[in-house]
Amino acid sequence: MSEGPITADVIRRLREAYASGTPRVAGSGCEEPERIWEAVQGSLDAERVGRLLDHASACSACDRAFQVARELQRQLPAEAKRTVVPIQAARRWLRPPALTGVLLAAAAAIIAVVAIRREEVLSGRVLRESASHRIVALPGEDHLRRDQFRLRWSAGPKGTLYELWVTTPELREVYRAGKLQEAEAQVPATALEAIPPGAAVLWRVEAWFPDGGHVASPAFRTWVE
Amino acid sequence: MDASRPGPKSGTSDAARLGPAANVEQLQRILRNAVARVCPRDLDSEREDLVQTAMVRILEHARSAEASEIRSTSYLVKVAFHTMVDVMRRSNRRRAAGIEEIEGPRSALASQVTAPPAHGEIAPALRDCLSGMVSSRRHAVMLYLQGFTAREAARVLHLEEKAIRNLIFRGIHDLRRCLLAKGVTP
Repeated sequence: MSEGPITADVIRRLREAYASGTPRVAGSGCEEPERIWEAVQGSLDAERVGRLLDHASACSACDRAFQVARELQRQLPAEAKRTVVPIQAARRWLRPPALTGVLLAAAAAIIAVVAIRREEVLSGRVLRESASHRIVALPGEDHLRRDQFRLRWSAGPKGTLYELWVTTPELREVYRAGKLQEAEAQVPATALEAIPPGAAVLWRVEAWFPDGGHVASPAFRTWVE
Repeated sequence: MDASRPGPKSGTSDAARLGPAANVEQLQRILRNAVARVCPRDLDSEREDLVQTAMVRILEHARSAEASEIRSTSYLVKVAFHTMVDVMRRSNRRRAAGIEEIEGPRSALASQVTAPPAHGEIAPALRDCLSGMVSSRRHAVMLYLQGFTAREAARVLHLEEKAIRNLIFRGIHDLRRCLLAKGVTP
């Protein structure tokens, strides 16, 4: 059989074949991710890199970890130069209220989406628990009329304060209320004007307990009717 | 209300702990790009989960870390990388276990059958050929097939770029020869 030249097409097919196939799980344990990161960075000695690669040839996840590390490091140099920010400097920088609001919304939205995704995996509605308290949405919150959009969640000890965030699935904030003393809140119909009938919103509660403890709920999903 | 008690909208937000606003968006962009490039199509549904899980880990890490710690983007990306690797390993174990359940153990007779690989069976043949290579070539070819450039592979393996190119060139030829011998045309 003729071998012929090695063309870009041959390389592409080899790479596709390399990336495909059934998942492989190595018999020996995987190394710390840090070692793979160091290997890709060029700061791990050649012998250990060789062992990592031999393991990766039998372990799909470690094999892919090499690729993830490479992609992340490819993007880092230019990015990292701009954003070495000590935390104190960051706090000063964040002082303008409007900017702080944007950041709060971004952080809340990220947590909300992840929590929603986890909720779909785990059974029940409880996703995150603290040692002593947890927040869950009370039954009957799945579908609500927009003019009676009252969200309720499990209450903490007396004196607990709550903050409620409501966003669209695209993470646009539609409503936020802070320093709530009751474990429920009515979302004004005006805040839901942009939400079409049958669409869902995500919501999440943070609670501050009288003893200084703090807990964040998972994100819950409720449909607007 | 007790003014001394931290409450909603007081204290430091998660985002503030991370650094400037650019960090959150920047991190998400970096993670999404990386995951999109390396996740195969069959893992499409897991891509966003991977990114979001990593972001949550970063936020949690920012909460627990020392206040004096410098949170550069590179530091946070590394935290995300650790999380992503953990998730990929768990997912990989689940998928591998699922496949074993479906296929069941191979019979002794089946394992004796050495039918020539069909068109879609290049992956196992490729693995087999790789495992038979000299280690220096195997490592260089592995990195190359993973998408590393010669320069990147040289950095990983602590070799000159020219030496890596040579190893890749010879290794790819070895690989194709081996595949052809197994009846597989790459």
